[in-house]
Amino acid sequence: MIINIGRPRLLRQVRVFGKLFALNLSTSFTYRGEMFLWQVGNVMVPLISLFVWQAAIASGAQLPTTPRYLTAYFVLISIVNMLTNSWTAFYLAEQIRDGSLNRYLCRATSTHVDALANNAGEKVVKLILLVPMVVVLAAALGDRFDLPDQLWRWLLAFGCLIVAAVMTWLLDVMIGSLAFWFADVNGFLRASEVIVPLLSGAVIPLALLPDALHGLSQVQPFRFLVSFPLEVLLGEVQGGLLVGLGWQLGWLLVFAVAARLVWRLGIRTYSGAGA
Amino acid sequence: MPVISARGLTKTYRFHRSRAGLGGALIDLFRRRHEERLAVDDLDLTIDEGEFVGLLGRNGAGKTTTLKMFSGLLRPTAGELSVLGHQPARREFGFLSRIAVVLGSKSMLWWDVSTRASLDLHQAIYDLPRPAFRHSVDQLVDLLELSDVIDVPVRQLSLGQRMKCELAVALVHRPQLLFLDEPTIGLDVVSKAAVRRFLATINAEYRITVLLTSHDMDDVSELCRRLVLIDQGGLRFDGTPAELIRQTRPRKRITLSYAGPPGQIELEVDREDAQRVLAEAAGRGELLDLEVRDADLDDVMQAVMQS
Repeated sequence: MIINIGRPRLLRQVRVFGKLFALNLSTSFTYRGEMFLWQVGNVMVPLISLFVWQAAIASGAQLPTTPRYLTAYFVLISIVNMLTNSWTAFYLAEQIRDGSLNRYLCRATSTHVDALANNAGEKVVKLILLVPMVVVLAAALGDRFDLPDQLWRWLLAFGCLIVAAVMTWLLDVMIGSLAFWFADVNGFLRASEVIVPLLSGAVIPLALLPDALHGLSQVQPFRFLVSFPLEVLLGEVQGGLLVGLGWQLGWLLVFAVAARLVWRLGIRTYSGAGA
Repeated sequence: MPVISARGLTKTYRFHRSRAGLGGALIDLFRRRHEERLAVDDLDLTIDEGEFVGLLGRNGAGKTTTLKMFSGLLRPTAGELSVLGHQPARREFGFLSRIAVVLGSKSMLWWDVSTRASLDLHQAIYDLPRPAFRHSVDQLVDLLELSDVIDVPVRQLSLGQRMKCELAVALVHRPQLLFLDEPTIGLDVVSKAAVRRFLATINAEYRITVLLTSHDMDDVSELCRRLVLIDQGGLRFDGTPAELIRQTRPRKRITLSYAGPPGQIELEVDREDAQRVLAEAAGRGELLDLEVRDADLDDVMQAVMQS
């Protein structure tokens, strides 16, 4: 009865990812109006922050970084933040809670491949909508910031961005998997929505945190979710580039091991509610 | 080798019981009351290739939990379980590519795209060679009469059309074992009949073993040659529908229609008395119609659930 079971597992998963990516891309375009509004919000928040910090500098505030760095940071943050963002935790928790995880568990593929494809597919659509807004913003502020002209720096920052996106997704899998043990994980979600943007540099550059927190902010994992790729691109890596890369890869490993462990322990307790 | 072999299969759920009121909720914050519920209790069951088995029982009897353990969705708490030679909870490709699950109340289709897109995705998931995949799709479209709906987004389909599409997607990889949980729930009589015809065909012609849970006794009586009745997590009956009826409601039902008074009368008599009653009935007036039958499965299940 079986037609074929020959292909290696990873290759199969990549093909399934490709199909799901295309499916998610086409369905994401259906909701382009809603996504456009989200992206307006994504640009507006850092823009307001930029105006606040510029006003502070104009009134004589002494900051540990230059106004040109700050402007570049706030112009680019919306793209970096969007590309490293993840919304898997909420949906995963819902699927565990209402039993719709069954839909993925009884298919011969990874339970997470659809979430990953959804993440990637939506980001492509969001990027198409967001980039023109950032280009307009950059053109308006063109003489107030500098971007690097070395190709290696762009490529390295892009690599760090991919690692950051994977780390954020793994963190989401961990938080969503808590639904295996807790009936309601909204508290954890809310806490992460407050803590992660602050410690990742999505709200303000970590260089602007109080001196007492500088040491800690350099090694804590959330820095590597948003701030670090931008630091690499703008050439102001706190603590040194190689040390930073080492920390990011180390934290990636920790996140991967922890997410796998939490998932494996959780799935043993799964009760598949409903049908 | 049997398709499914369960020995001492047991599943317990752990849950917390909430206290009533605001005070109770506050106490719950600090001291939760955890309890364990035995959903399946020491179940022994063997199912062979090509069988069409109905898994019956009242709500909460443990039948869906049993089905979920067989299909790898849940990990058994204790006991031995082998399905197609695999431990289902390990969810290996060799196991998942030989089974299919259709949950009547949970759609397996992608909502915003057509059934063809979902079929295409399953081609990648199960790594089906293109020619075999196309042949399988053509066959299913033909059997389920899907040619008009296969390219329509799923959200625009009626419930009956959607269930037929669910079956097509579930079976495109030609599984050996099909788990069905309430596949006709909410369907009208025409759609139910179409789904039943299809299920009977794939079982008879393609030797797909089918395990069905349903509260619709018409589904069960039309399709299942073997019934497994589960109650309070344990096996209460295992045999043919006729045996279940004889064991539970052994009396015959006789309907007599006379030309004159008393008109139509219905009797329930013991099996051994039926012949004598019929002989006597013929002498009591001009008989227009006569029907002798066993109790139907609906009556039987009602009697079982009330006992």
